Amino acid sequence: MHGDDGGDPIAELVSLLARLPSVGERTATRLAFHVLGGDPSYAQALGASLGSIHERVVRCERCGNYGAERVCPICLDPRRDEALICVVARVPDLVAIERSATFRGRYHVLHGLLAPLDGIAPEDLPLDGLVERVREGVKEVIVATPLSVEGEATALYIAEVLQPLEVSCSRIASGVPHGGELEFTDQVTLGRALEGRKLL
Amino acid sequence: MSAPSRQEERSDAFLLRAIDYRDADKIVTLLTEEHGKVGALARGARRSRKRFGGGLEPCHRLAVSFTFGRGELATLKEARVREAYPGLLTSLGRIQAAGRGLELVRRLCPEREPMPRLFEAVARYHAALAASENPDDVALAFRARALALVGLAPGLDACGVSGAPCPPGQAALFDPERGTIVARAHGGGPLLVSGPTRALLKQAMGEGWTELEGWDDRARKQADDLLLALLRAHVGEPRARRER
Repeated sequence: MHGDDGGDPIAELVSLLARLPSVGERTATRLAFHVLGGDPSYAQALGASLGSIHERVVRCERCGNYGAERVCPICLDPRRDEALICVVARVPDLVAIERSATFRGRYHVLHGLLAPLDGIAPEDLPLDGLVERVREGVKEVIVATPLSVEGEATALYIAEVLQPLEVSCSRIASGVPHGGELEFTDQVTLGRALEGRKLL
Repeated sequence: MSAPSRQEERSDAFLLRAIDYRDADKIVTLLTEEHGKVGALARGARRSRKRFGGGLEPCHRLAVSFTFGRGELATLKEARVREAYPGLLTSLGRIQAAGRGLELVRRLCPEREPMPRLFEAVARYHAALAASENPDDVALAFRARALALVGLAPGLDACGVSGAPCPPGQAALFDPERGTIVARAHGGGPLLVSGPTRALLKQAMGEGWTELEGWDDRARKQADDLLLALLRAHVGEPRARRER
C-alpha cells in the first residue's frame, strides 16, 4: 500500500513520484501523464531501472562511494593520487568536488556526521575504514565535511582519531563565495574568511 | 476580504533543534528570549542564504523574526547570527557539551513560556564553554543551574520529610523521586551525596555557576548521578536519537 489511491494506478504513480525530492503533487501529475503518454518501452525501462537500483548499486568497499562494482571507478583509477584522501559526508558532496575538477586524490565517504544536538556521538561514526586506509600509506587527509556545527564536530573528531598516525590532516577553507559582496556576508563566514587568509 | 497580517515577532534566540522537512524546509525548535521555547517552520531554510544564511546553526546567538499562526508551529521569517562563539567550535568536547546543554533545555522548557533567566544562562553557557578547558565541568554546573531555573532544584539543605537541616559538610542520602535529601530515619535515598558535593551543587545552582571550580572525580560523579536521576524522575528519559 502506498496511499489512499483507491486502486487507481495513475494516482498510485503520482503518489509515489511526489515522494521524490523537489517533486510536488503538480509536478508528479505532469510526470505521470508524460510517462503514460509516451513510449511504453520507456516506462518499462524506467520501472526496471528503478526496481533494480538497490541490487545493482553497491557501496565501494574501499571508499564508500556508490558504484556498480565492489570497488568504484575512482578507487580503481591509477591516475589518482593514492596518498591523498578527501573525506566527505555524503556521495553528493563527492560528486560536487569531482565537478570542480581540482582534486586528483581519492575519497572516503562517511555517510553521516556527528550530530551533537541529536545525540549522534563519535561511537556512532565508525572511522575504522579510514584509519586502515591511512595506515596503508596515505600522506594527507583533507576533511571536506560541511561548514556547519555538525561538519566541524566531525572534522575535529577525524583529526583526533588520525592524530597518532602522523598523517597531515587539513580542513577545506571557508569564506566569501566567488562573486560575493563582503557587506552582505554573515559575520561567521566573514570571520572564518579572515582567519583563513593567505599571504599574497 | 484578505486575512489580517500576523504580527511579526523579533527576538534573540538559540537553536535547540533543526529537522529537515520536505525538500527545502526545516522545522526548528528555538529558545527565544521573549517567548521561551518556540517551534517554527522555516520555509526554504535549506536554500535561502538571504533569509537564513548561516543563521540556522546551533552554538550561535541568533536574531530571529517569526509570526505565530493558528497551529502549533510559528513561521520563521529570518534568522541571522547575532553573536558567534568561535572558541566553542574549536574543540569536540566543547561542541558535545553545548549539544548536551541545548538538548537539556529542549527537554526542560515548556512551549511558549518566557524564561528570560534560562535564556541568559544559555548565553553564558556558550560564552563559558568557548573559553573553558574543562567543558564537562561547565556542562555539569549548567545542568544544575538550568534545573534550578525551571523549578527542579534538588533540595540539599534539609530532610525533605522532617525538615531537619543537614549541617554543612555532612554527607546525605538523596531521593530523586522526592527531589530532596532524606534523613536515614525517614527512609533515606539511593544516592549518597558528600558534604563537598552538596556545597558545589548549591553553588552551581546560583549566579556564580560559570566560575565554579573544585570538582574532583568523586564530586563530579556524585553530582552527575544525582542530576541524571533527578532528570529521569521528573522529566523522563532523553528522546531517541535521530535516525541517520
